[in-house]
Amino acid sequence: MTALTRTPVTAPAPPSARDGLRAVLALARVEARRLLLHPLVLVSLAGYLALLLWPGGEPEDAYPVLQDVDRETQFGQLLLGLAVMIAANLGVLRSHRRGTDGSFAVLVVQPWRRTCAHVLSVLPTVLVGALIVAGQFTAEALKPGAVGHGSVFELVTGPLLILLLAVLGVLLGRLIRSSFVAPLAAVAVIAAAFVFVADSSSPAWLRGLAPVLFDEGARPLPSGLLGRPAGWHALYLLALAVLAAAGAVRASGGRTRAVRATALTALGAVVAAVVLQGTAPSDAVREAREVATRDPAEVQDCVRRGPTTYCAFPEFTPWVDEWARVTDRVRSLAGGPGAEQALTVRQKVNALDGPSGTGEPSPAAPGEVTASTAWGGERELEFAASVARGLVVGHERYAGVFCDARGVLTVWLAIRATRDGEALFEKTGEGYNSPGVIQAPVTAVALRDRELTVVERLLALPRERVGRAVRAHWAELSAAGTTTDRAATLLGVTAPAETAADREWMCA
Amino acid sequence: MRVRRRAAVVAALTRPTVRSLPWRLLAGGWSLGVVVAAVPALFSLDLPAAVLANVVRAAALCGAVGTAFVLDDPARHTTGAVPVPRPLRQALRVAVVGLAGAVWWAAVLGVVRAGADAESWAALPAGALTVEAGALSGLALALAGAAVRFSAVRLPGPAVAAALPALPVAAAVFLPYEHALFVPPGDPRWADAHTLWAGILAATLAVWAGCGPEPRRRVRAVPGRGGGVPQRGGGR
Repeated sequence: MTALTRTPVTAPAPPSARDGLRAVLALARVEARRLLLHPLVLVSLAGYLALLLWPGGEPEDAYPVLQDVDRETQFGQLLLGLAVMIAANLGVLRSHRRGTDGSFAVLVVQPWRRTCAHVLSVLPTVLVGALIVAGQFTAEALKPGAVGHGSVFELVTGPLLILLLAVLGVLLGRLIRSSFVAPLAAVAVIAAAFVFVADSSSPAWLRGLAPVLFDEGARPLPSGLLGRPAGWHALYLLALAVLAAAGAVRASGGRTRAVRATALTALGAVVAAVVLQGTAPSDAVREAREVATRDPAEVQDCVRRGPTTYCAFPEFTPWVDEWARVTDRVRSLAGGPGAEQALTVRQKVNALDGPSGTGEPSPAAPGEVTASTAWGGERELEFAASVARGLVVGHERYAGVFCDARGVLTVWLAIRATRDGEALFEKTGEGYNSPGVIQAPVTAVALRDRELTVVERLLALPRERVGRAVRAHWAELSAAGTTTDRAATLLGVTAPAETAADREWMCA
Repeated sequence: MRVRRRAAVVAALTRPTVRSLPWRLLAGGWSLGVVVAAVPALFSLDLPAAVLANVVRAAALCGAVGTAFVLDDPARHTTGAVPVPRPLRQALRVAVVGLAGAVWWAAVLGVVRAGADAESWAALPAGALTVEAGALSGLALALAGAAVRFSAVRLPGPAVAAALPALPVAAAVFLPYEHALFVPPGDPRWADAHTLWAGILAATLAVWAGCGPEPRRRVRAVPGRGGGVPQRGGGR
């Protein structure tokens, strides 16, 4: 029965293009289901969703700036993409591991069509990634405190990362027949994306080559000043994925003209995208950054509320109500002339270095106080300190710490004007490892140990009692020469003696 | 007497063990590790100690991915009946790979040192990082050992290697700030983190050792999972 004879066999008619397509789609459907239900992908998805849905978070999260939130979706998608890459690679190599490669050789679906099916099979998983991004961004955008505009290109970057990594998994499976390669590739991607981070100080072409355009600045910027080449980067990722797909099809024997044309087009697009990313930011963006940093009044919208004028970049005007709440609270605590004094709250940025910049904006003009582009939690305390300093001191230039009544008064006003002020004051001290310092915009408001002790003693007293004393002695407390001892006496507490550490500070 | 007989068995088994180990895979992982470690030296980047520590960790992870394949034994269904117990055979494999791995690790540290300026290198605690690398490889070993013990799989390597990068990533993402594992050198949490690392190393080695002995009953093969019946081909 098993004797081999040379009987001529009539070969089956070669499949028509339509049959081939149907076979590819059928296989793609099966593989897509297997990929999505692969334990590694399922566990990663579960972990990812658990992290997103986990309750809690910073109070700052209630006030998202959408042009920053959109790119925060990318790293999670990159990690999910690593799992998908390994799973897709294992899918391609399944027949190799199970020793069924030989059986496939007799099928009429050629290997390159099988590769096409594997490439197509990653799309539903990419779609799941896209749905997560959409859900994540929508949830942020629907928060009442949300401001700004997201970018579609930043949002599609995450799903495109999954696509690229998954297709890379297929390509690796076709090039090297060992399931050892994908985990190593995952480690290499981790090293490239998280260890050797190409940040804003790297050359533009290197930044463009990295999977994620990394920008981590001190404060958000208005969306018009970002100047991130998100669109070109998305094109780069897409073109790279197409190039890898064409490479995988070619490596498994699909040497048609269409494959070569696709590969060459994709290669051209990759090179173009890398070059074009290097041209960002455009001159117009640079100029807008210059204007927003040096002369923000030109581009801001102003609203008048009582004696205070609030000027914000147009995207941030929804926060004016929040600023007004804190400002009015500071004014009511100050009482007397402090409550009526005209004041302009101006939002300022230092946009010269783009979204990675860490510089502080320049001090405000006399009669103005600075608001930053972040809000919620400690940012609220910082803003309250900025307003209190505006009322008490009247300028933001740094000339040393206030070793007198003004320091005590400013910090007491800031803490009492903020929701949960005492807890935030303690937290901000721990966070920067410097108790008694509020990182107010432009220059921090710092206290020496002596003034800090007075403030702590004041916080232990009933707020009404201290408030009455502040209103009664406002002129003396806000004057430059009033000593800490005098302030403590006026407010009904005692000040401790000056310590050696206190004497090392430079006093204003 | 018994010890002497064991020693003779070990001596006799060493050469075949060395020959049967998946050296190509191990060498692949190790070379990528050296390449990662050499990046600062090749591009003369002046990286701070915190980044260098992460470079060393990435290299360690490359080595751990290779370690996942150490317990792969295509012949396990025929070696179940031999008188040399599985723990001894596995320990011999791990010892051989461990020796080669130690040489590789010394090379990784040497390459990192060549690419770091003196100040960064001085701030880099090589011993503690070696514990981390050992724990990562121990994790691979424990997973592979458990896969061998609780299933009839012959080649646990691919699945373990696939799962391995997920674990450090999950640890980095999910662990709270106070209990972070991947802390930069000089951080106040460094000592605590490395107590944890040492604990992980000990626990993973204990799990691997516990999974060493053959089960008293035959592990049932999962149909269609490349377990039970030895098949043709059966690559990694």
